[in-house]
Amino acid sequence: MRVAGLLGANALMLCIGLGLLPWLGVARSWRKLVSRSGLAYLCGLVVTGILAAHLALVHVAFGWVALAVVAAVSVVSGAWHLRGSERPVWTRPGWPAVGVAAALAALLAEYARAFAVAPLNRYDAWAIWALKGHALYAFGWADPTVFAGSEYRFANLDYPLLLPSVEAIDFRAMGAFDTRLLHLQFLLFLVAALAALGTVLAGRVHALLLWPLLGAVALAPAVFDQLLTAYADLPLALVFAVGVAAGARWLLSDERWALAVATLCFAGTLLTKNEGTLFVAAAFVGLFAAAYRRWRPLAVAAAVDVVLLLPWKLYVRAHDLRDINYSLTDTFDVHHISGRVGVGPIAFRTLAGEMLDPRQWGLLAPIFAVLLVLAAVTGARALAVYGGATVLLSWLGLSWIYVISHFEYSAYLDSTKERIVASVVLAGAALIPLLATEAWAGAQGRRG
Amino acid sequence: MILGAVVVLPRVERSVSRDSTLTAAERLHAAGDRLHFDPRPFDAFASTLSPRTRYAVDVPPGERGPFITRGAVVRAYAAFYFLPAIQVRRASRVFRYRFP
Repeated sequence: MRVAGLLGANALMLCIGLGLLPWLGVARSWRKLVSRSGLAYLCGLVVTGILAAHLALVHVAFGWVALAVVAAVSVVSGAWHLRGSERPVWTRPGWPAVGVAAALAALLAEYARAFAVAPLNRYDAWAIWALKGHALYAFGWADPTVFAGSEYRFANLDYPLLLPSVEAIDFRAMGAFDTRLLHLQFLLFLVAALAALGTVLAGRVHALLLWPLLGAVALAPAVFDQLLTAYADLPLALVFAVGVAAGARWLLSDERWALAVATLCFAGTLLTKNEGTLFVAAAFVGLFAAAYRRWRPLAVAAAVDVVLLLPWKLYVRAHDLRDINYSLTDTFDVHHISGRVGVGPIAFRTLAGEMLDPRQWGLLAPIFAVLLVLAAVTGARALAVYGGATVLLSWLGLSWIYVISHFEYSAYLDSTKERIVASVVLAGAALIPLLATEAWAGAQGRRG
Repeated sequence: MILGAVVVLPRVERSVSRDSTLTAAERLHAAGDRLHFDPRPFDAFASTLSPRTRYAVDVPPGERGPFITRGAVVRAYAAFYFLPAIQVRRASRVFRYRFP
């Protein structure tokens, strides 16, 4: 029954996403809604998480009733938006696509066997994420007794609440604080992200590039290992990667819906972990650098993300919550920085080693790097600038965190290096099919 | 993709065979067991708590790890394990834990 509750809640999130797609401009007809429905689940998951996280700040619990109401409003309003539009036409999918999709589904089903029995035993998983999810479930809101309590400062109280809010929805749907089945939600993040990534890239890249990418992401050992820990790093990375891919699609095609999807995913990234701010800032710098002439829609997108982050930042300010790992203002502490500046290159190299480790990420990072250079050389400069800036600034920013932190750097680096690079690797990986396509088109154009 | 499959599929199998045999008690204490905490004091104290009961933790600092002391880890674990009771600095209810 608990599994049914968990899956039922996620089905309602899917409905929320389906109804949202017309409003985002992703689907302007029933036909498009069907062909782009792969985006629905992730969009629904992110929107539900954002909504629940914000409502938790004002003493409103998000459970079955709220899910059902939001799903009904979303579906009805989405259907109203599409009234009278072109109906879907059934086209028989090709056998290769069916075969690869079936293989992916079989792989995820195999993963589900592990996720359905995993114990919650990793420090950050229980000390930060599940503790907050349980508190939201038990108290119905972000009660400052816990969420700003001095005895709970170890739980990184300044981290935003999207993931704990999704966990709390799951606990309410299951009717219990079930630390075993909770792991399935992390697998569902992967399902949602793969479907979304496939949809964002479809139509811009050949299936021979798209399907292997989805397979390589799903099969990356770090993806399985890190999702199973129930840490926030992989959900963060998956949502960010879809946002980066959507941003790239907007860059290449100027389709507004792609920027809307990127904006939503970036908001989800900002509200999942504090590092999300670094990643989203890097992506926006990349987008502004690559498409400075189209700065107006980008400025609107950035403003929307800031507004969506604002309620949480106000809560953090109101309760004087501080990061226990580092403070960005220490960047200007000359005395502190001068003693640790040598940490920067060490961290930069160590993180590079993690990203390039084939036992963690397969060959995703080196393939991205090679294609980035090829794209730049063959004339796809906008995409190369965007991809390069997003990855490089994120990587540099992560390295800088080890410089400004007051922790002994090698212990801090050792305990976080594997997971902290997930967003950088997956953001680069999400661009691989587009880079390959643009590089190939550029090379053909030169030859022609 | 092949590289990933070769590494990850055996890991999936190992995870399933290791975790599917866990008992309810082992699952409940999984986080504490990983830290080598004695589960009995936690269970005994938890059975006396109600939601929102205020309690304090009395634990020696213990040895220092790379980030926090072992005593601080006990406090964190107590905060997780005793929810929805609420940990505060001072209270009439006190959870006492001593390292072996």
